[in-house]
Amino acid sequence: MKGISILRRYLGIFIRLFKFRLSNQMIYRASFWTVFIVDVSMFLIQLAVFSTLFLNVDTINGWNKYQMIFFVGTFNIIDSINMSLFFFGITSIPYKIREGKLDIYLTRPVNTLFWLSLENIDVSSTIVIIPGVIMVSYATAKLGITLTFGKVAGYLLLLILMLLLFYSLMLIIRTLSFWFIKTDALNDLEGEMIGFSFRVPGIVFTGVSKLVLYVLLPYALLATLPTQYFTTSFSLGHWALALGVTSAFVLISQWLWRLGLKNYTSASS
Amino acid sequence: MRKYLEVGKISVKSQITYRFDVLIGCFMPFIRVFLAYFLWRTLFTDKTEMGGMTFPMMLTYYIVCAFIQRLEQSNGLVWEFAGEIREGRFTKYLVKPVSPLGHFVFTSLGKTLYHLVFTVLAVGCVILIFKGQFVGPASAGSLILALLIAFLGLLVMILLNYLTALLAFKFTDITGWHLLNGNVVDFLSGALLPLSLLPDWMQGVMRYFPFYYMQFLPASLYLGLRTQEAFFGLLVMVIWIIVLWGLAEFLYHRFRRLYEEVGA
Repeated sequence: MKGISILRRYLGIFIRLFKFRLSNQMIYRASFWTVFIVDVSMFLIQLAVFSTLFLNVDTINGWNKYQMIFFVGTFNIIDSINMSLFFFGITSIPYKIREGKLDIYLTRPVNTLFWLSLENIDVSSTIVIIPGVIMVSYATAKLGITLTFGKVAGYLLLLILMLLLFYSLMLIIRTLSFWFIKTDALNDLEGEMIGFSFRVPGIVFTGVSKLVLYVLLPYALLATLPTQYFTTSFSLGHWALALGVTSAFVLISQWLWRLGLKNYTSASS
Repeated sequence: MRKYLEVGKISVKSQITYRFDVLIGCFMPFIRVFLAYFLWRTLFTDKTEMGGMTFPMMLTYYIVCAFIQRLEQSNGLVWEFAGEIREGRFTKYLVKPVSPLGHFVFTSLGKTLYHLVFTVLAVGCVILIFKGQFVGPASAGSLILALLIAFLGLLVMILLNYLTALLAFKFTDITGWHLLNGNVVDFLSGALLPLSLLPDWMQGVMRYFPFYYMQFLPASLYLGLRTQEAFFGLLVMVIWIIVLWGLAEFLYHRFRRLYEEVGA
């Protein structure tokens, strides 16, 4: 019972944060639409990159054009949920640590990380989920995949796992700000990794590169695993990989966050 | 001119403060090279040539593009400049006998000069890693032409970024515009894919725009490809620099009337 009441309380907070941000963003409509245009431009450029590649090749390591469309659509869905929910909240953490603005969050009777992650919900990014869903649906039809409850439920579960992984990867980099003043280079590294995991499906990696990009810096898993599950075969080993890597990174990020908080000296305040 | 050279010198000195970040940052674009290596290695499995390039040429193409991309340092200045407009700190340009455009250009070039040292070091490391696959310049002439066009491309990019920063007078928050600019330039300049993979008609249209000459043509010239396009490229770039410079001055004089000096 206590668990349910906590859940209801946090759901209430989430709804209030969402409403507040929506009204806030509608005041600055130009910003609202520019974020939307930027997201759509990224998605169109991505389509252009793969269309160009498929003008010159028939498959990419066994994946055909429609599997790649499914891959891009899936990444688009994951990225738009990330941008809508926690991207702007998480990326503001280093600034708050550096400027000592974390104090006010620590004194609130709400989980600090929950508040920080969700206080900058970006409503305009949610619209970008639509082209992602259209791409996934189009590719599914072209690949002749029969939809079953198990197939859709498994895909949704993998999307949730990959979102958790994405969140944890972002958080780990930001928690380093508790120890280092300037983490711009790490942010650049993250940008490059995300950009490429958007453009290169994990199936092209082998050997050491696969180990690095599937386990140590598992950006390559994000859209690859849900696509593999939906469009090709997916073994128990794949499930173990998805669950194992996500659990490990969630635990590491939470441990680093708590360690960082202990190290927080509240500079400038 | 002397005062702008001083601006450049100050820019170099300010970069020295963050040398560790600069050193690490110089290796970042080369991550793209490593990832491109795996993608193209897969695509070349049953092909020997794509877009007029062999696999080693393709890999070298990405290394050259990453090198050029790293030297473009006006990207970060857009945030600083827009922040100065938004927070009222832009006033310093109004009271100093310097043009904001000249200041922006020379600060960017100063940063580029400083990053050049570290970027050459980073390229050296990448070449050592891919030494069996790396292709040297086709000839001294093609290398010089590639460097010259890449430099003009750098100037065009600085001007485009300055124009983006100027939008802060009108829109205050230019995050979206700046990201849009970066996304479009990334694709159209050939940083993501060699433009030779695009249909011929599309390449034909792109030849009249500056993006084609920012990374794609310099990297192609380095590889000894498309040498016949070099002089047309120089002409197109000079025309675009004049047009963008004029537009930048025009918009500055128009937009600065909107400056409210809030927070100064």
